[in-house]
Amino acid sequence: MTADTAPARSEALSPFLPWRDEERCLPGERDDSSEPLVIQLLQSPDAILERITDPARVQDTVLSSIAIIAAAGALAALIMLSGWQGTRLELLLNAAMVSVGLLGALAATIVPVYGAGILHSARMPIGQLVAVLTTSVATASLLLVALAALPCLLWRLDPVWAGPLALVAAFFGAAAGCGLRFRAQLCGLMERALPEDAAARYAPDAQLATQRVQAFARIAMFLLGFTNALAGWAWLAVC
Amino acid sequence: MTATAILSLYLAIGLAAALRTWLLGRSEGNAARPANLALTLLLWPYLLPFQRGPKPPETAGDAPPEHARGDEIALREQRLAEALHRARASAQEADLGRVAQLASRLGERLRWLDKRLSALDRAAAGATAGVRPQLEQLRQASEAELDEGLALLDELTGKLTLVAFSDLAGAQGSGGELAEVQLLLRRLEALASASREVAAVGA
Repeated sequence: MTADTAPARSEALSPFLPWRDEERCLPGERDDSSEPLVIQLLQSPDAILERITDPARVQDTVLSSIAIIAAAGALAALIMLSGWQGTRLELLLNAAMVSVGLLGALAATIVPVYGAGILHSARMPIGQLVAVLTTSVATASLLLVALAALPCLLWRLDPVWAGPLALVAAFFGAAAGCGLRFRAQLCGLMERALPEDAAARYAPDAQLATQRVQAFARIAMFLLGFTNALAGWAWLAVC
Repeated sequence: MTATAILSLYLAIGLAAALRTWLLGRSEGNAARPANLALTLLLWPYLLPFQRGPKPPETAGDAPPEHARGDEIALREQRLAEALHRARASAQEADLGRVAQLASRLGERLRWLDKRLSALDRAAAGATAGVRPQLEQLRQASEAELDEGLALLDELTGKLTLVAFSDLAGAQGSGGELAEVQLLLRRLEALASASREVAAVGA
């Protein structure tokens, strides 16, 4: 019924809606620059890259990502801890601590990752690095919200094995998503920086650049994992 | 205890960052909004990378002379480097390493000329009327050399592009283009030899 007034773009090729030429667009042609950041984080890495490389939008993207990390981290913690015995205030405090821990761990990673980039001959502008890190972690925190229901359910069924394992698995799943997104964004930025036919022109250079970027991404994710583990440990120490 | 110390340190740095933002905003005439200051105080690790440093003092009277062509030279050198890469990929047998060497020497010479032209302009502004015609003559000669060098770089880029795609025209075409590149090389060598002399004098 909304098709007559304001048809959603994603439904333009649906077989259940009347096709009109102006609605038809292939996935590659979609103009997704006006979509909210939350959608772009999960759906279109290219649009995120557009935001990161646009100097006018990059700071807003970082701030929005931080807001998403804080909100999604707290929400994931609330879902995971919903079966937990404690007062409501303690629950909220714990959720806030997860958000603060995530943001603190991310902030502590920026300079070491930047240094690792320099050591790996893969230096990138620190503003872009911050943007890539925050958007990747924002994607991970959204994934964590999606995965949080599983540990919550399993914890009620089996609090000895399945619950804790599912909790760890949820965090690992989110971390894997973060790592993949981080690497994809770094590779995207690299491809934008290299000339268009770099691979055809001198393949070893392009290959070496890719290897360097991948090694840099692994180190960055290791550092992020380390600082996140420290943040988790601090959370346990405080609570 | 340790947590309090870390938090205090964090807030102290945040306070310094917010103060810097406020001072920068004030010196530029547009006061920073309180929300921005609060964000900088709390999220300084994320926001500091995006802050611009203080603007370098505006040198309105000492504006860059109109023929400061450093960008132009850099652009042409970049184009040449790309064309060279492309030509290397398709014509391995050609001795293209020498082209790169000579082109970089010519680039040095052109940059040096550009700098000298700027200095010459400044000198001409304060020179007495008696010396001015000679200075103008020198300026014209240098400018002509700069133009010639830039044109040569352009020509070389064009020829190298032809070399890169000469396989489409068969082996015969490739030989012709390479010969033209060699011809250009000889001209480059002549121009760049002046640069070598400059370097020797500089050393």
